[in-house]
Amino acid sequence: MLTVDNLTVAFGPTVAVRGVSLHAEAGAVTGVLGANGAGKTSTLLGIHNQAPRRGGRITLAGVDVTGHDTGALVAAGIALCPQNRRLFPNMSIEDNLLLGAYGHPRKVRRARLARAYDRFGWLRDRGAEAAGRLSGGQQQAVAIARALMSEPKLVLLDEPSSGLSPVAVDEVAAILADIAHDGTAVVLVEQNVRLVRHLCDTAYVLAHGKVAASGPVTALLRDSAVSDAYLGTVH
Amino acid sequence: MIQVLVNGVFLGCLFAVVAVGLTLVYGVMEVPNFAHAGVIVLAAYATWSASAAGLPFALAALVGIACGAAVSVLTEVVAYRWIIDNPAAAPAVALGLMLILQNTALRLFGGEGRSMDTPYDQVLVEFGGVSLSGVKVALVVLAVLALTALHLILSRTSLGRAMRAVAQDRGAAAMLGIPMRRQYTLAFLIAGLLAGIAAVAYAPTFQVSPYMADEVLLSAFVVVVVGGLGSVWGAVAGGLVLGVVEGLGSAYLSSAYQSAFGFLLLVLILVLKPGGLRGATGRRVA
Amino acid sequence: MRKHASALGSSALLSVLAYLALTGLQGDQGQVALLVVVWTIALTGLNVILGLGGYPSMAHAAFFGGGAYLSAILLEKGLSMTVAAVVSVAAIMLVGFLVALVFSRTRGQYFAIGTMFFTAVAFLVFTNAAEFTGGPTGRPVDLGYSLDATVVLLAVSVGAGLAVFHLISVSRFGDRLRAIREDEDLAQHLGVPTARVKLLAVVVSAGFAAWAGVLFGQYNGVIAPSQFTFVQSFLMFVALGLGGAGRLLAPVVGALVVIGLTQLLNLGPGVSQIVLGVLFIAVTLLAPNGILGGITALTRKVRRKEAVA
Repeated sequence: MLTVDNLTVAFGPTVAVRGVSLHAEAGAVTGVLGANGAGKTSTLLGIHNQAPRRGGRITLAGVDVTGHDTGALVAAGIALCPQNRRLFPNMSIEDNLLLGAYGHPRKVRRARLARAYDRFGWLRDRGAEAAGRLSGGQQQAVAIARALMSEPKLVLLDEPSSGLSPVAVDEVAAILADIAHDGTAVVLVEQNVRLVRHLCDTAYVLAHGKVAASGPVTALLRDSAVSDAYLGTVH
Repeated sequence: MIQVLVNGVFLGCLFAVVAVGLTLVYGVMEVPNFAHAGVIVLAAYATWSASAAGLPFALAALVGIACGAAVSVLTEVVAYRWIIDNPAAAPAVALGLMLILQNTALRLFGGEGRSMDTPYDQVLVEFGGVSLSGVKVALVVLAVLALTALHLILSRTSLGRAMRAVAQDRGAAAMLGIPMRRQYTLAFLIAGLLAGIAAVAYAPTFQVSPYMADEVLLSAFVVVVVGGLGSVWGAVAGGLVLGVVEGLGSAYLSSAYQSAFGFLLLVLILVLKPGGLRGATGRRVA
Repeated sequence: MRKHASALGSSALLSVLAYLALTGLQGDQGQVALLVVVWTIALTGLNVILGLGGYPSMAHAAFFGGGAYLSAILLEKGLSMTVAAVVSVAAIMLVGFLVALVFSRTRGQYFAIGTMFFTAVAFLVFTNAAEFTGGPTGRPVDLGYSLDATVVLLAVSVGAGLAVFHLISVSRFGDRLRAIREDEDLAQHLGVPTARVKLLAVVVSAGFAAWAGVLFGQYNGVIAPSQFTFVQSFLMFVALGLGGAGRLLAPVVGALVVIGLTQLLNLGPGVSQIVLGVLFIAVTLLAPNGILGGITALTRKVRRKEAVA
């Protein structure tokens, strides 16, 4: 579904991503792991044209979308759930969701909103509440729902589990598994190794802006050298 | 006393209309749009010219409002758009624009004040022991209509929703694929329309001159600070409060120092809440 | 050592140039010279709070006018020039202290708007306290020192002011101000007494402006409120930025450009202002670090090309 070829992202003189290539299949959850500062967030932002790219090619469902601006990317089917969720705090849940389908005619927006309420039943009754008042886990659900409003082929998520209780993390995991099951490609940047192990089929490990290792998750995490060097985990 | 309060409300409506225009631009672009004074001035002159050329006042007013919108969008396209990533550059650009706009008016129309006649000049509305000139009533009516329309746009339309979103989190809005350029232009367009309304309503009471909007703009900035940078409702509430405060101070204490009372209010609020009533943090300008 | 030598050397040189300009030029050009010299002194003070500290003070014209008016009033009351000048500067510095105190917890846009409004109120006072200030048409200023002495004072103040700025800039005070400009919260965390530093910076800037005002009143002989509006504050702010806020010679460059353009371009009422406006926008877009910053960047580019060639 998604092929990233030699992506380079640089903020002025600082190169955050150096020639990263990765591939994400439809219906699968692909993990992107690495220590802080390894370039994970910059990679996602680079794919979504929200960070200054210095090179690379992005192909979505066989179509070269490298030249697309963010608006065109969303229309083509890539949605981003950024770090810290970034809902619009003083707007209602419903308004937040509707913005996910910005640019579409009213009927389409309303239809998709109804589908979102079907999927996340508890949202329907709380649609008028200000998004800023929800708990972390609830906000994450709304953020994902908002991303889904554009009916994307690919969803990029940046550390959706950060700041969430274990219960909330499990709920998020369930939602993501569900989305993948429906055929959407999911790219998941995460620090939470347990979540990655549970959800992802394949994963990439980034270090210093480059892909240091990649492959099926179970094998990757079993490689103790990889784990120690890049994840600092105890397994 | 009621008369004073009513006059204060009139002043407050004027402040609110101007302040909302400023706060919209601030919310979307984080730019303190000092050039707004120039927009008001040119809109007023456009109305005056159209009226002097023989157009009926209602039409002249529309010309003025359209002029306000056009000039405001022009400032965005020509200057503000290019400093979107460099907010520290805003004051210089804003001052540059203000100098250009004000002095263009000076060149075209000269520096002495001109009075603008309106069909409701002679009208005097009286109720409950209070009398209001037709001009002031017109302002209040215009202000209420304009702000109601704005409210509906912001809360019910897609564009309005996007504008609120951009003001709350520009980055997140961009990530959703909302076209930012269009939002900037829209904010300036609405601000310009409001400036035109303020000009049309304000000019008959005072005189049309290149410097007519300086004091109002300053007070409007106090309103924006008091109400919270970027908050439309804050601007409306703040405008009315400031109008009443200045009106009271002017009537009971000293009319020459009218805007000084606004300053006192500003000082009070900034001392108690350095981030304005709504508590947003002021960002670095330099 | 070399850094000090070049800074102090240029300060001295500028004093000499100022003296020559003030004594040599007459008429319109003489007026321009006076304004440039006076603005250089005033802007040097602004360079401390705005240039080094990054705080957008829009109160400068108020301090400037305050110094001018207060010294004129005290002179009229019979005080000697020296006493009048010292008291005026001290009093305005006290006002600066109060202003800084009131706005001590505000930052960025709020600080700019607050100080701008202070200038507007000061203007109201200048215009309405007619008993002291002569009202909207202004008032004459008695001559305290001889005109020759005033010229010498002006010239010396240019160099002395720049020298003081240089010393501040290289001192720990300067470092602390720059730390505040970079990241005030971090500076606070690291133990910088930010409140005190900011207060001192505003007081110092007020002192410079007041002194410039005193000298301006003396040389000009007449002062009016229209010279001390919030637009003036804004112009000073932009002039310093145009020069390159934070750099030693920014006040000189800024004053030359702004005053030069407004006074010399006599193409009709308002045209010079329009040109000035266009210039502000152009410089902001093309040289975001001011003219001096732009020159530094250009010379660096040229040097790099030469190294490669």
